Amino acid sequence: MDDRHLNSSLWRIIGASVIGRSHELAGTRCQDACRFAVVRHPGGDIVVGAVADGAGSAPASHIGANTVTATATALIEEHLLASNTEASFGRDDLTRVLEHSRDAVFEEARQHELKPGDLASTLLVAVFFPDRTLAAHIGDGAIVIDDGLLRVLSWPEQGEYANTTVFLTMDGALENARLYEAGPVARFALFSDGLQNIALSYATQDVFAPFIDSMLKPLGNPDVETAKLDAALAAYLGSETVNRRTDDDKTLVLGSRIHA
Amino acid sequence: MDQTAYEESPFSEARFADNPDPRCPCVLMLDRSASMAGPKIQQLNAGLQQFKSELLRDEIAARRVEIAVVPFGPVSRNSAFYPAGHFDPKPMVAAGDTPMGAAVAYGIDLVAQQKALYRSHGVTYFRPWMILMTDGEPTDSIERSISLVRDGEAAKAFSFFAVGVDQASMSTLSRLSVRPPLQMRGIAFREFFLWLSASLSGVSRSAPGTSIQIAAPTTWTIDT
Repeated sequence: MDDRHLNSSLWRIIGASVIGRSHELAGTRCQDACRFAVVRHPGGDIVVGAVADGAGSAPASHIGANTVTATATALIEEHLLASNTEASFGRDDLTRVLEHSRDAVFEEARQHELKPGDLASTLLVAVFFPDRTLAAHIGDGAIVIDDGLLRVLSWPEQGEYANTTVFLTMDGALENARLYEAGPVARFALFSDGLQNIALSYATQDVFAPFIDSMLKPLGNPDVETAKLDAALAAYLGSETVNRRTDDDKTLVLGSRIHA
Repeated sequence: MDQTAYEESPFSEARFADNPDPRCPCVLMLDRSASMAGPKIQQLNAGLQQFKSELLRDEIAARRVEIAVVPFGPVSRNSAFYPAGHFDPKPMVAAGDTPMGAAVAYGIDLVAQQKALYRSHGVTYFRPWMILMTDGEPTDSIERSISLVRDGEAAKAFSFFAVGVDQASMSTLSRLSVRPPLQMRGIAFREFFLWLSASLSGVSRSAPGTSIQIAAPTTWTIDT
């Protein structure tokens, strides 16, 4: 995306989806996907980020994850660019984006002559305005924000069991999507379930700040180029250090406001 | 991974949350009534030892699978779940009758208690497996257990499997288990426990949306 490394923006954003060891061994591809963009707006820069984790049992879930993240971010960008005031994008607009993104996955399935469930994925999408935050979440993974305190905005949605969650293509997924409104944030992290066990503390039901904080910290260092950080993030997520702790695909999108 | 690249990573100071592994509970309700005497109980005892060593060979399963044994004839009521490393099955002596109904009800209780324990410690878990193994007919009423199993399966509270050995009443097991009961070939306890440990290894590493690959139990069953 052209907006990826906009150094002139008031935001610095990096992100990567990296294949997990179990998928490497099985010869499948990375089923996670992410997209992000900075929308230059008269009212101030707006950040749009999306993460999706394709279901392991769905044969074309990597297509679903790509389709849903690309569609959701494109629709939100389009909406924001078409409006003069940022405030025109609200809960209902975000709900419509979810509907249209789901429709896009169903359409993609038709074109591949597959069932929608074959493209099953989760979805996390967040829009960070200068003065507020809007987010939606279906399934697992998590959204962490720093609005003075590093905290979980959206916790993974799990069934009773460790290996169950909700996917966008399931019946009722949209009706049960979780929507969040919050104030402005200084930093954020969106991630897929491959990082849940190292980024969240289940005993305290809270973010494990030492992980997220040290991942966000380099973004605040103006001496390191964004493109380099972006590459370093992908390398780190694929490193032995991380792979020892998780064998699933892992996606992490990190954003930090730059203080001039 | 290139070591130099890693050393230079701006993220190398990251520390990781240390969450407990998700647990994969399994209850074995084992008939040790008088009719099990001889090679059957010997092979069953040996099979439990082998089950333990198979689980220990798999690093992930060893951390995640937790086993409780409920011998019945009569029902031992001091069962608890142990991870493979602490699982120390005492050799069972064949004696007594076959209180199958009480054993199943107690096993279901154990599963419910264990889930509550996991939840109170913020430990996630997989759907428990319950395995009933018998070579005979119940000597108590199984009516209550039939409805407990039916309700539990409907609520996805556990997966219940019934295994008939030798002269087991397969028709009774059909009433008790929602899934068709499996009839063991001869005294293939060894093959059964190999299959069980492989299956639990699969469950214990399954991720959301991943279908769990359970091998067909053809190595130890008779086609019925």
